[in-house]
Amino acid sequence: MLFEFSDELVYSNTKSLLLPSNTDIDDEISVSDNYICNPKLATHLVLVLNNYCQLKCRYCYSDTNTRCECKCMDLEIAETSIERIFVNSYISSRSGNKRTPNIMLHGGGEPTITWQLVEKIYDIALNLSRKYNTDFNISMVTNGMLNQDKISWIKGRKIKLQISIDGPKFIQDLYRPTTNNGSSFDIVNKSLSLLQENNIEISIRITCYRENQDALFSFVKYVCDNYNNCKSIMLGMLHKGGRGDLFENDLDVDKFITTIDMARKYARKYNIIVGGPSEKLLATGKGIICNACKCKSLIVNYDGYIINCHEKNDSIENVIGTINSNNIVLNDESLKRINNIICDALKKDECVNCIAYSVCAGGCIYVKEPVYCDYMREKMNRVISYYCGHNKVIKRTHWSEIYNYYNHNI
Amino acid sequence: MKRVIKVDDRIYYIPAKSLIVEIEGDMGTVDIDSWLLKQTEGFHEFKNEQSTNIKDNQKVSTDLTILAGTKCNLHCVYCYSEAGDIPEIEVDLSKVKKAIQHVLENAKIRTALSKSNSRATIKFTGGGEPTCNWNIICQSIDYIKNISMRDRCHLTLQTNGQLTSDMSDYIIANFDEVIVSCDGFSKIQNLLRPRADGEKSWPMVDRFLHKLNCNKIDFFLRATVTNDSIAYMEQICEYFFSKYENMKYLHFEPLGPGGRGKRYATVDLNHFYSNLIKCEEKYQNKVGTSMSIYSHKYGYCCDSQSGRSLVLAPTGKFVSCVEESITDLSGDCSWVISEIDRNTLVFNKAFTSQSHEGNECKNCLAYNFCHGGCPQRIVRDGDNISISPYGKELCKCHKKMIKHQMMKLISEQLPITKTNYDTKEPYIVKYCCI
Repeated sequence: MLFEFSDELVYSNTKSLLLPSNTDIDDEISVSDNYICNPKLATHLVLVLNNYCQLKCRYCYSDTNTRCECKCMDLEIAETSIERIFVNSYISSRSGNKRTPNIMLHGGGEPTITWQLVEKIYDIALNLSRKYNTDFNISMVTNGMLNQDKISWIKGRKIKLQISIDGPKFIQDLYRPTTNNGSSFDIVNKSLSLLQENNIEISIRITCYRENQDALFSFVKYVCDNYNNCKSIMLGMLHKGGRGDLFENDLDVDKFITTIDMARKYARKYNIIVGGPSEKLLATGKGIICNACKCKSLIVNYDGYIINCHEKNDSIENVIGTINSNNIVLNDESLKRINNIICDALKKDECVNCIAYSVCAGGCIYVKEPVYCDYMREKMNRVISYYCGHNKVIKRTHWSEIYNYYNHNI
Repeated sequence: MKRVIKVDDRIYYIPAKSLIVEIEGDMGTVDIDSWLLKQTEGFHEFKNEQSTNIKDNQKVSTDLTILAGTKCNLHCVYCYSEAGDIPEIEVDLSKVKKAIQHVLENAKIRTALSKSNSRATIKFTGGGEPTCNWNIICQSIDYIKNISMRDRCHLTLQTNGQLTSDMSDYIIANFDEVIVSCDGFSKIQNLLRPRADGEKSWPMVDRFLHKLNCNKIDFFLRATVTNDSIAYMEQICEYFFSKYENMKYLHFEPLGPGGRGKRYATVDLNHFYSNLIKCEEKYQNKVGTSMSIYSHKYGYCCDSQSGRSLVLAPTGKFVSCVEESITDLSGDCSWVISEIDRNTLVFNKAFTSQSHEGNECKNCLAYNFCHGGCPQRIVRDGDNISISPYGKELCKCHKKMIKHQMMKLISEQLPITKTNYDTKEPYIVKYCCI
């Protein structure tokens, strides 16, 4: 579909191109029959280690600490999964297209609460890297409830940390309290200081919602000024799912975009990268379907199930197989069903007729969030309008170039 | 300076964090100041982000105000420059070019350092009327274009609107922003701002505003308020906003005591303040005055005082106040900060910053927005103890305005929903960063 930006300019949401309006262009969407990848061939692994946490966030997508049973991944399952991606990496290198194994330790739950498992997983990966003579990447998404011992262990290892924190103390303590309604800010803030003292690089993830929206810019400045070990700050949106279903996310999208722009500008002088929702998609403009959703990543949960969304780690509808100490077994029926869901999502009128289609390709197939759609639409309109307003002569221009111009100049 | 200042019952302002909060719950014996500072950990604190050194600020400034000359085609009853009664001087074009070069160079450096596009702001304004020195404007713009730096500049013109058709076409084609000085509709404008030749000034202003509107050029209006116009502030808003849809902002400024303003009755500030509030209620942030919580002053009452904005006077020197631009001609060099000599800023040894903080400023909630106030209007004695009567009234008025804006801002915030705390304990129910 073509979107007019002036008498002379249109934007094609299928080709991600800004064009003179008199250009002939084939603007039909092209939908494939199969989007599903084979997770058995993945070199990217997400391990959802457990289903419990020291915090009781008000919007937790996993609804932690309300279930009867605390579950934790078996070491053998972790080992089989890790070996699989090392083997795949090895095979890829033999075929001349080397892909480095990537391991992400995720909570669904909180990975650091099963610390011994984290340590063992790291050792397994290290041994396999020697066996297959390859490097590897490992990262961990954590709530930041760390202590000196854990930080000392991390220091000697090349684990990338992403720490979730929602803002200043009264907000963090209200929306991410400990399980007994205590303060988490003081502990997380202390962890951040210890990580800095130990020169451990971190990235920070802030979940954004209406209540912390006005504090975001000030908090980003606080992080930039105080933590020189922080390399990136991601401003994400609160999602539905779990306790998030009870939470009305009435974020002011317009203000949110402005906040991201201001934060990006401020952080630039510290060489800290600031990104908003779907930043990678916006940067490329290729309309890529989520790697987890299309099973390009191997995602394994604490039950030994292979799933296609780490946020929906306790739902039977996205189980696509099982893994045990010996093997990975995929459920073809589930894969087929998920492929159909993706195909249907790509044909939805509301998406095909939306300017953001070229970037988000219909977004998440599980949770359709109006606020996310509003964000993408508003962002794209703002970026393209800015580009048109500052470039007198417009030639055929790809979205990625437009977005890059906006980020550089705003 | 107090770290926490009470604005009203349960409403507090934390200056260093630029934060206003409203508290609920039982505050009992809680030490509110330390409790608030703890609860708001994680908000950024201002730590000398901006230099308060005037010389340093001038050296790196990207903001230039050019007072093209003292000549004017109006003879406003309150003119701070006393235009028409003083010698006609025109700024030396070579000085203008050097000043432009200076801010453009700084913009280039800033772009390189910040990795984002930084533009210089160049404003032509009065002290006189800039368009009476039309050649200076045209040749300055030609110069900017000739050195291929037009894209690096944001060009602003503040004019009284007494323009020929050709002049207004040129302005529409060449400026990014237009500010029109006009005190109100015909009756008020003609009374307070008559033409120097004795004719009425309104018809030409009206024609120019109409032209801007027809060409869809956004513009601002700046109206000086005197006791003759104070009663009409609401009507002025209504008249202009309904007539000119491209008018984006109306700035009211109470008459100051400079120039002929000294001999003209100063305005009733309480009346001004209450009328301004009424206008703001109706037109929100499309109406305002120079005292606002939304304009940070970085250690000085205005950008001219801080050196962040270079003000090139008709004498070719950089001064610290637009309204005191040629006082050096009568022997008072204390407003002259510097001048460019052979491409270098040379600072005036006789310059003394006129900005002063009174003892009453220390714990004032308006301090971050006025920094002691405009030294041209709030005149203090050497010990900073006594303030001029007009200054005292203005100071009171500013405090009221700041408090009103803070209260309004916090009242507009949605409350934070709170479910998992003991409601007896105090908690922050609303907050906003200014």
